[in-house]
Amino acid sequence: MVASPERVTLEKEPVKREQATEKYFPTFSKAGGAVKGAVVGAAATAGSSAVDAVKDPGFILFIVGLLTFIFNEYLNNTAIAVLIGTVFMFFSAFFIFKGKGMAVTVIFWVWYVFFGGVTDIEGIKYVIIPIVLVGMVVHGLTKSISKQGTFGEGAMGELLYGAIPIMVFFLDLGLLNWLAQEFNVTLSTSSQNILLFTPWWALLGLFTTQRENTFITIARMVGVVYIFSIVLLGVVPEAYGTYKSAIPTPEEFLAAKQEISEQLPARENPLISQIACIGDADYESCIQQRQEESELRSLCKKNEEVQKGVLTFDDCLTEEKKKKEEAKYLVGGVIDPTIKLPTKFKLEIDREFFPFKTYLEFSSPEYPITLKYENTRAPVKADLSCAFVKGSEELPGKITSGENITLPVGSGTEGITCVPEGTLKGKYELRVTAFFKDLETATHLTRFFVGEKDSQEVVEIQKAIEKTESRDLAYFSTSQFPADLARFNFGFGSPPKNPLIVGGKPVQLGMSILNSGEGKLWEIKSYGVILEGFNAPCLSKSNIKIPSDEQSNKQIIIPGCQIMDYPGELKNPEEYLKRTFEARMVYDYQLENKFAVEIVGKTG
Amino acid sequence: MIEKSQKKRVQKKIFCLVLLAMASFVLAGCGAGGPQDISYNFKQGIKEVTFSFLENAPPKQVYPSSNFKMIAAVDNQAAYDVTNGVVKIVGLDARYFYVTPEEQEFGPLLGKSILSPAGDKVFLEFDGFSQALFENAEEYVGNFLLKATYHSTMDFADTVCINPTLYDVYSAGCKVQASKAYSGQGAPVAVTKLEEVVSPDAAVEFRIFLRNSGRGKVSTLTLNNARLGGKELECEFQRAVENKKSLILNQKMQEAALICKTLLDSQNSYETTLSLGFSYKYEVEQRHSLRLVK
Repeated sequence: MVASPERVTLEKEPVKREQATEKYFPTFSKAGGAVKGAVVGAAATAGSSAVDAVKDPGFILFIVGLLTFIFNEYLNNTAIAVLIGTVFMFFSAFFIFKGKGMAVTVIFWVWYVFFGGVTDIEGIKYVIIPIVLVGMVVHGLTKSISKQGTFGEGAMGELLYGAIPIMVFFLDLGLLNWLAQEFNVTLSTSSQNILLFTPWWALLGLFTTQRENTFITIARMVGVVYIFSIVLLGVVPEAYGTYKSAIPTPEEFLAAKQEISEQLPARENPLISQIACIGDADYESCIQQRQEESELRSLCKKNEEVQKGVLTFDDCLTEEKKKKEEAKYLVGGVIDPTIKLPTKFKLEIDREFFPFKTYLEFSSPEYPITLKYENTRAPVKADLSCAFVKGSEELPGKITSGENITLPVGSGTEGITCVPEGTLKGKYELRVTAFFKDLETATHLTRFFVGEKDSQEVVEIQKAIEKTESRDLAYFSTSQFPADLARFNFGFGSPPKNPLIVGGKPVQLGMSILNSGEGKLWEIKSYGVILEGFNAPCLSKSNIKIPSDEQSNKQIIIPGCQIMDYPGELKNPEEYLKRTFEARMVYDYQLENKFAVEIVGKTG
Repeated sequence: MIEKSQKKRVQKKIFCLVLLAMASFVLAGCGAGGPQDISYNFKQGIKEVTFSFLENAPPKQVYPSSNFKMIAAVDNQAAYDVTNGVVKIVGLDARYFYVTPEEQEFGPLLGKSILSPAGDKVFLEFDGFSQALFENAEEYVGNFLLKATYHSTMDFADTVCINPTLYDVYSAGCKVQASKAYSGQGAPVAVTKLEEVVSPDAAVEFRIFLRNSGRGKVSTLTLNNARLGGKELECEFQRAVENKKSLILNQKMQEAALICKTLLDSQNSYETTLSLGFSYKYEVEQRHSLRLVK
């Protein structure tokens, strides 16, 4: 047992405080009032007090804890994390708490790290608690007999000062992350901040420093501001997880920490955002904008296309912003995150070489346009056309590079050249149109068939499903699709968004089409919901012409119907059955882009 | 002053030595189990049947349209035999993974004893087949539950003092312990507390508190026998509805209280054995996942 023979002095040292007051806050007459002198003095004060603070064990823990926190991403190894945690735990127990809780800390360490933790709660009750009590009694008696304190001081110190390093040890390993995962807690932004940006050991060190000087005071103030800046709200648990007596191992803690960190996009430290936004007229919006932008930057840094140089960082940022905006207006269905390469087309120009202004003295007008494509499933036929518009006047153009092309599977670019069929003079709007034929998109939807069960059983099954899937059941309410130009959204159940199908009664089928591109959804060649063994009259249809005034609409509702019957195996399963269903849609889509051009010079 | 600095130096040295020793334990001993104590009393503590998948069965990643195996190891670490065991795979989406059979029976599995100190272990094989990914998706993670149910027993025995002479302060007989605590009887379900109440009308009442401390759930708990020495005890579970010797346990409330009574034949004080035999149905759920990749 290692225990300090001297009395613990967590209280401040009065002599030093007086010295510090005299040293760092001299009388006004001495200060002289010169601004320059004050600044130099303050700097010198902070410098000398920093040197002074280095001798303080709390301050040492603060600095080293901060460094390990900063370089945390390189320390995702269990042995290193446990070793660092062990060093900090014993350092704080020994030097900061002067060995007051040493017995408890040692017993905990031997039990948890060396013996891997007894996972049986009864074992804790009958082994650990008695040992802790013995430790308290021994420490209390030692204090009392050696006349260095009372029995109570020694015994309670053992419990209190032993618990603090152990708690911080757990927090640093990832206790909160583990709890969030284990009890399926929905993390608010502030909770995410706590998980990502709390240097637990550094904070313990900072708030247990025994010396008082300007540097420590400033550091402590920064610490308080830091905590307030990241801790705004608590976690709201949707706890339904069952309690397990098993204490998680360090590997489980670290795995939870790593998993949650990977799930959350890296954001700017909220404190930095807050500092950077000081003085901004709209402080709240500024912080939100910085946080969002840092999230997008993080996403683009990890983007494979950016890493390969296929996409520029700025283009990636623009795309991610657009996706975020689009998501706000998405009425039904969600983009399947596992499909990284949807089918996409874009008509664009190279601003460096595009003749916005053509001098007829040099040459006749000729416009190069690029059709950028990401075609991931099957070759696509496209009809290209162009025209020059001035007011109500429209002059046709000719695509000299070929009006009918077939785009192969894969991503690439196709050069298009548009030449006016006639003489132009003045300012025009060049309209380039690509008409894609027979594009195909697919959607999937997951449903859980629970059979004939009473309401209590349904609730139990719902909990079991949510626990198994590690997510809320609402996640399955809508269909998922690739981020294609048009998307087919469907759902069935009672109502169609309910992912639980109870019993064998008829359920409703709802469908809609989403136009998520910037063009016109010209025609639905066909759609079909693949529900084998299901009896419903509206599962498929073909050749649906969309009225021209509705082609740009973002959502088109398709009349649904009732599913009267479905396969027997799904009607009454013993447990529950998870099934994924697909739908396919073939459609024509028109994409158009406009560019301002000018033709100057002699005519004829 | 010099003494104080010397003391600090000694403290620092002790700290460094302790730290060094602990660091070497962490680095050298991470994950390594120490030698196990050989204990011949298997009917103690909380022990249970464990379920786990073998390494690489199922594999960490499964490719589309391929066969794979899932091998579940069922290891009886409890001190009692297990019967009527069933292991089920629940929650896999047949659109992505097809597993056959979806459930398998196992048992009987012998519990730990002197004759079988390791307990019985059995491996259950499930054949899996993966389907194609949706469109050009990168991956699909199929979460599922390994659900197991089995029947087992648990015995409790302890020496109790029967002393009806409540008012005889000079009684030379044994002393009644009003309450006793227990850490387990080598099963997930355990008698955790025993209370003894001797009434003046020469009757004794035992209040036996049971708790599920395992990783699963007890669905039904039945008392098979209850004896005080050679005498049968009259027992009933609190909250039992029809059959007073059997209790259906709530999923959240995994505790039970049993009240046993008998009339005493003599006024003498003596020590005798209280023995109880229980049987129970146990359910275990474990979450796993299969990863289908391109």
